[in-house]
Amino acid sequence: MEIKNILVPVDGSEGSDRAVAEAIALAEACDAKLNFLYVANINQLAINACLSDAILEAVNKAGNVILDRSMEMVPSGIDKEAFSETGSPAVVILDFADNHDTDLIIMGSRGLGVVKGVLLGSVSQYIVEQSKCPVLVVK
Amino acid sequence: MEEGSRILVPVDGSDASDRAVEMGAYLAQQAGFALDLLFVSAFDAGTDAEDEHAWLPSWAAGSTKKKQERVLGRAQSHVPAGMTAVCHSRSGIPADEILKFAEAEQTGLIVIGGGGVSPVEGFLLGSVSQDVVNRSTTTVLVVK
Repeated sequence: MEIKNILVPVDGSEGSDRAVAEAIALAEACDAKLNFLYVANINQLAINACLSDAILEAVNKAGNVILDRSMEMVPSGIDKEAFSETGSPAVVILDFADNHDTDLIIMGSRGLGVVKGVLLGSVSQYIVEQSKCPVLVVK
Repeated sequence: MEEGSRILVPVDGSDASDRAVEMGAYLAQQAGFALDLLFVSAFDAGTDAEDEHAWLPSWAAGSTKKKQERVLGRAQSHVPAGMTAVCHSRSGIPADEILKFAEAEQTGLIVIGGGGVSPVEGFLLGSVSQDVVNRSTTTVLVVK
């Protein structure tokens, strides 16, 4: 048993910040690499507007700000990389985990979802159920 | 997880729970945490078929003690040599007892085997791991 690659999906929420902190502690203990992934939920955006370049650029910029913030939290000496994708978050995260030799996914229990009172967000719920690799849900 | 905290691995004798023990032991070793193994039985000593005062027939309850020894023994065998894990057992509803234990023992991380149930079982009984993830105030790692 060894953990070499940790996937941390980030969305800028408070829960995702806690997940990043926990991931850093584990990466330090296991000498693992951190892969941060931001998924722009384009499907949802497309409902509101035909995607103009300006909108896409704004989405990318928002994602980069979140990724940069996560990357900056990581102390030097820990291997790290940032990735940005578009699509339905849960599906993209699982695809990414499959294609990047992921040993562990670390995520918050609830992201930016609007439903208050739900204990586990729909993305986390889907990933805990469907993932082939271990999933750590940070409370 | 904070320094000096403990990792709890609930075990039920399944393959997924064996993998959870291996993962829990690995993390405990890497981070220098203590390891707790917990078996929860739906029946307690009062219904133990081995006990002459048992009030349930043996076909209903079986031997609680034997099963407990078997499951915890199997879990122990997945703990690497040189590492010590503390074994515990409780009786009651698994998810409830796991969460109660985690709260009482200052568990920093629960590592639990998941995906052990078929869609039909999951629908009818619900999955213990899903229940624990949903209700826990402690961080939970679900191992497949």
